[in-house]
Amino acid sequence: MELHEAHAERLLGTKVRDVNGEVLGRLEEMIVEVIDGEPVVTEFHVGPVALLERIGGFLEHMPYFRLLPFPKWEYRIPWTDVELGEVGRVTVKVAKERLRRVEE
Amino acid sequence: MPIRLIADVLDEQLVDVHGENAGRVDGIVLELRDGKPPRVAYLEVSPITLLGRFSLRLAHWYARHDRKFGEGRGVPFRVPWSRVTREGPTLELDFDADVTPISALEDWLRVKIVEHIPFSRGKEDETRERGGRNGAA
Repeated sequence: MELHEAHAERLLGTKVRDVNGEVLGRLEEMIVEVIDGEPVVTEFHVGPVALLERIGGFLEHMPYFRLLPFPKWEYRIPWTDVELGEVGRVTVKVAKERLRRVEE
Repeated sequence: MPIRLIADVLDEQLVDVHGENAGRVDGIVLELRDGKPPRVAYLEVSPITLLGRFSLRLAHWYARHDRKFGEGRGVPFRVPWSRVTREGPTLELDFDADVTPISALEDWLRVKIVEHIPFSRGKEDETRERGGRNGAA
């Protein structure tokens, strides 16, 4: 089995494309769970809500912030659908329409 | 419980086994495996990794100069994830950071520059003062 490495901090903000080359958004968050004693990335969050989550959830509680026309969606993509390249390329193995898009 | 890798780990404060600050998480290394989810293998603590987030050329330039400072320098210091535990917003290491090159740059700056500034305090003074405070408490 081949072993490779990727730097999470360098993948951050990378444009994510689907199987047809269409841009979904930027990679903003990775969810880690401990499975069989190993900390593994189970989900990737792509889109503006994920960015908001990362830079500070407190912004949502600020007065009038909700009135701003900030796009409120993100894709939550399971690891099985994501291909991480060592050179910082992130691609999704399925078409955009088949992904789980969460609207807030 | 799920962890948000970027929001909860990246740039968070590390403390060593003695409760001393041991830098911040500058990078996270994922191990990519065929047919398995990416594993969080190491946390990196190093100015090289931090610079690499802005420019790889700058990071390589820094690493080249850092290598001159001795054995084990010039590459980012890696902490295996298994040696880190989460306690609220801080991440605790199960070893003493003083025996690692984590604070090598700060130590070099202290010895070469800070301690030569009139009325500045060295590391020994700080340790003595902290010990005195703890003793008084």
